[in-house]
Amino acid sequence: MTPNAKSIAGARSTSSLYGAIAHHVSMAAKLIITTALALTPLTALLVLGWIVRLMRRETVIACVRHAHSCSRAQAVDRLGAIDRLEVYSRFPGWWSGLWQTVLGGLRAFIVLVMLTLPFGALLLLSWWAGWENSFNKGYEQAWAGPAVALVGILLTVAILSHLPMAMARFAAEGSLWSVLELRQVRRLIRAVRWRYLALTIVTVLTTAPLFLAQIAPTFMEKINPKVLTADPEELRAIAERWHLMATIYALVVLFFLRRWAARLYARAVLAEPDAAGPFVRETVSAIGLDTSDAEAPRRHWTGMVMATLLGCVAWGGFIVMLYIAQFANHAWWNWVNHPLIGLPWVFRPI
Amino acid sequence: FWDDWRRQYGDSGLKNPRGDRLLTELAVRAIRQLRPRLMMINYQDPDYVHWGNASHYTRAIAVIDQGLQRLVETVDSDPEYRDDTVFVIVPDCGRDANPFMSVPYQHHFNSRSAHEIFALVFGAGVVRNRILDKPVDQTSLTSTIGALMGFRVRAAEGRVLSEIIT
Repeated sequence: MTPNAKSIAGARSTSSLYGAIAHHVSMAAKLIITTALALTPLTALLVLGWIVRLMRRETVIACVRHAHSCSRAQAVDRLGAIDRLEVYSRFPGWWSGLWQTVLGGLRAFIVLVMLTLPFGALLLLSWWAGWENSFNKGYEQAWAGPAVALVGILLTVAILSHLPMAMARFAAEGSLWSVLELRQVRRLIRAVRWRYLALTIVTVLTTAPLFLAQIAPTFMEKINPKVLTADPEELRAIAERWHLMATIYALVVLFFLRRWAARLYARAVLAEPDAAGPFVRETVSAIGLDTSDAEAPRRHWTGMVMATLLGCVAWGGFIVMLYIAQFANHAWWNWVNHPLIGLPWVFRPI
Repeated sequence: FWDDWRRQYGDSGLKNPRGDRLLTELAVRAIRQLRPRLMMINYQDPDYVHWGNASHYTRAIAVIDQGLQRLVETVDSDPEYRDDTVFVIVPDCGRDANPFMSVPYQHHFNSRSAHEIFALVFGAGVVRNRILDKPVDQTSLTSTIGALMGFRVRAAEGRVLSEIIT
């Protein structure tokens, strides 16, 4: 190598080193800001909006990767060259696009409430009313609480089976009503059924540590005997540490799960272009991908039924964990929200 | 006893008191009709707090409190039992005092306060207005009741709480 080539190569290497350092510092700052915002329910709305932006970007990148059979880094580079999609070449920041984050968070919250409050309210109501009736010895209507719980559980499984794909669709399309286009959502799930089942199973498994975190305070005296003699300030500090760790875990898992769901949505709409919404159609058009000859996925009814049933079993496992955690350390909020399903906020009693 | 019960309350289950109020009513009738020398009443409703309604705990304690008042009045109004009855009021176990939980008063998890209870003992042969402020084992109550009733409880593990006997 000539001396000039060496110095140019050295300069490039230094600049890419600085770029890498700047990138990692920027990512660390984003994680710190996101964590801080996730510590209260109100600011967690912003985290929700940021995740929605993240998901939309992930869907676009996945479309480009599929169109050009390229790596992720190459796809991001290509996005930078397409006017309408240039914004997605950059990782969503907090200061840039803050209004989009606020709006996205509010809209996502409305969607989540629409989808999850019905079953959450039924589970909460069945629990409260069932035990209230039992305490008051209303033996003649003892069936009411369990019956409402059964309806709530069935509704929970039905809705949660759709929720990850529905939220990915909402994140990409931005339309509140996109989550209610059940036929389209089901088509998309069918197009990627086994991958969707994998996402479901991983989602349920990753909720387990948070349920354990809910149960853990019950054993606080065994975990940390100092609490027996701690003053209120020390107790608050312990609670805050517990809350912070649970929040960081939830955010890391959400970062992984939501992006996975977004990529699955991209794969599904490219296999079923008729189920794509306006945003994905425009994106596909902008990157020059021709989906007219997309082969419709073959429908193995047995496979679809199996995948659906296994998905229901997985969500049944989620419900079992929910009831166990609520028995060990009951909190009313936890019937209507789980940080990996709804608002990314971990409930804390103190 | 049960025939009298049925005559008053029938079989529908809708007229008689329910829950711990039922236990109080049965105990009062047992005192009047069966004339027991030893009776144990196992109130239960505070345990509903396990299921998340904190108010179930306090309401159940109020129901037990009213029941105890009725039992004491029943005993005091009966010449045979008045001045010759000992009441021992004791929880079967304590409750957690866990500030990290929304409902702090469970008792499934072996915490220290779940093992700590009080006992209230009053009546014939019991020292009045005395607080025995030292840890004793719950099983001592068995031996103590036997001593108050004039017999030795051979199978009991705890000691007789002679500090509270006159």
